Amino acid sequence: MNKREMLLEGAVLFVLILIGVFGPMIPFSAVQVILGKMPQIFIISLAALGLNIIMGYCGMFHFGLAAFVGIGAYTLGILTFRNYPFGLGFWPLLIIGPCVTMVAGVCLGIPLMRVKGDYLAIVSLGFGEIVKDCMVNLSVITNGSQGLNPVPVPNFPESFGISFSDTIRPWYFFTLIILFVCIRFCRQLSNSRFGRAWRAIRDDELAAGCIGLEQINVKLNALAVGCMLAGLSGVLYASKLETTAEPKTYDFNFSAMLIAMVILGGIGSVYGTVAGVCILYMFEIFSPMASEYIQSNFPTIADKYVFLDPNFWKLATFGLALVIVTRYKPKGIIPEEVESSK
Amino acid sequence: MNALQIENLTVRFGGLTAINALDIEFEPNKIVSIIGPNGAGKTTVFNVLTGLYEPTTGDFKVEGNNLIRPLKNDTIGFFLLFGLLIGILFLLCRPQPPEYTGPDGRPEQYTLQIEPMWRAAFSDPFNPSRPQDYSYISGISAAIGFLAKDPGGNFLIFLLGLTIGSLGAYTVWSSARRTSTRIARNGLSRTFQNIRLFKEMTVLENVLISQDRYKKGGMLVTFLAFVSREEDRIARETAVNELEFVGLSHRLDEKASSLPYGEQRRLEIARALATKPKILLLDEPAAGMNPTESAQLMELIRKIQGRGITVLLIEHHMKVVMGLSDHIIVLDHGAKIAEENPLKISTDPLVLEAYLGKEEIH
Repeated sequence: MNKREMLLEGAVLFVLILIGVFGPMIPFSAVQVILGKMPQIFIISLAALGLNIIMGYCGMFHFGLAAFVGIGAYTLGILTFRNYPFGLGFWPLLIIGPCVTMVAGVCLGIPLMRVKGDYLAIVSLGFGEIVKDCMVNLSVITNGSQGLNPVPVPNFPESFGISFSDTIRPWYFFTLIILFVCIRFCRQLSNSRFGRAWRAIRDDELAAGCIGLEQINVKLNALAVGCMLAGLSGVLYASKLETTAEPKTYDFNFSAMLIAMVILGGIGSVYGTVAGVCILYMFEIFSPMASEYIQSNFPTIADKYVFLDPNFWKLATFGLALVIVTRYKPKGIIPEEVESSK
Repeated sequence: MNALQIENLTVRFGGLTAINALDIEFEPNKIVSIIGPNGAGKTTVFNVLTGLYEPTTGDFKVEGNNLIRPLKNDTIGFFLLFGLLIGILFLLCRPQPPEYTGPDGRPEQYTLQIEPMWRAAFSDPFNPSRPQDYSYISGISAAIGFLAKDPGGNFLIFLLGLTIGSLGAYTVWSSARRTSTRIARNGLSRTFQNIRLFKEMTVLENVLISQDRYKKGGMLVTFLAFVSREEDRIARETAVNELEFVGLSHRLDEKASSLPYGEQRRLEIARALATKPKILLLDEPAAGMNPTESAQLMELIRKIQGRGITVLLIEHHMKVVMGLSDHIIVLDHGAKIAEENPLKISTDPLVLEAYLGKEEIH
């Protein structure tokens, strides 16, 4: 970790803390909507960081990571749901959820070790869809397509006087702290023997074997960490929504969005990944606003030309953004950090 | 003891015999060259030695050690455990005759069913009015009863599963007994004909990476920065020393792909040396180099020999081969046709024939 990076990271964190402290006092409704969505951005960033480790560092094109977000969410759902005998609270799940996802990721990862490149993408895509379908069809356990509802929000002891259900700040700071810790985790790993091994496997797997790296161990390591982050993201995602959401949420569209975020932001770059999430998620925030604005100010046009509704243009915009970025900045908005030798 | 001993090595790809009954042995701390026309099987020898290809027949030893992973007791225990699991699975999957009738009076077969199991354990969470369903449990008891009814047949089925499971585990394990990783960790390191560096990593990282296996501590320890600085310092020092040895210490922070061709070659040699090899395999190190660069390379290879490392060299550049080698092995069509010192090899009639063709007498 060099000085410049530390300063930059500190500055961004400081600005985000300022936003968290003073943002809710700004009396514009648009600002409040954006602030309300910020925890979502932080949560999705966790999953994208996981994908960045698998895809950006280790070079495995995993197309089914959303399924692991789903596994995290449903672990939270099943272990905390009031009709089940487990009845755990939120806090133990913050540890158990990622661990379960990590085990699932490694188990589903072992068959992936035999395939590479495009084939790996296809097989992982298949795994993702199978997990989603299992969630739909094991309706005795997962309540089918309705999802488990409600799931608990994190509750501090009453004496702290913080409630996660009504104001913006607790969720904002809670997710911000977790995201920050995970960013440091990824940066620290990428500069350590683990990160070096992952990047070596990505650059040349055969040569990596010939200098004594155990390729399968290294790849499973990356899968374990990536799926763990995805699971953490899933636990927080479900807890924020107070429902596990329907299994269809965790389908290929979600995975593809994560991939788009990582590629747009900079494949192999931690900060780039977070930037990519922010940029693509802005669309999610602004398109309902724009749609509402058109509805209220130009109702005739909005009724006549339904296709003008920005909500329908989501995937097209993502595609266009990807094309533009890969054309003009092929390594992403913030390219991969080159580790200097101190 | 011989540094390397290749015995009766044969490699076939389908109908093509790439290497045919090759025997090579040489003493430690020598520079040995393998030469031969294109397609003679030189690189195949290297690929077999570094575990990328499995030899069809034959074997090789590095300082008397054949580098095959030993069959330990706990490995055998793992095979049996896996076989046990498969055996139980076989028992579970054995169809049951319709003597057993389910709760509704119909003959039923037991299978692994998650839904009834879940219901029996937790009742139906989304439908509390529904009675608890214990059919799965009665299924299990029926299964146990059935096991007692036909112990001989069940034992045979179980034995079949056990055999298939443990043999399968053994087959998978034995196909990876001599991996390139194991070979690299036991003193045989190589460079590649077409340079294979870790292109997106810096020069220092390329060399550091082979030092990483001496480091301890898992991810959490790494994250919390409890890693011993001493360990890091030693790794870095070794890597920088290797880079200094090949003359790249001024380029530590540059990306490997941004180096010029000759320096990339030397970086690859440094990376191989950092694994502390006993034998270094160099696959055409002088390819594409100008005379100055290849003279520097020859000096470097001599220095490597000076460190007590045996060098096995594939090269087409005859000046390099003749200037360096203690010993030259000539391959043609996968077979060894000559093995001499450099002076004699250039007049060997078989070698001349392989390179230039037979003299035709009019």
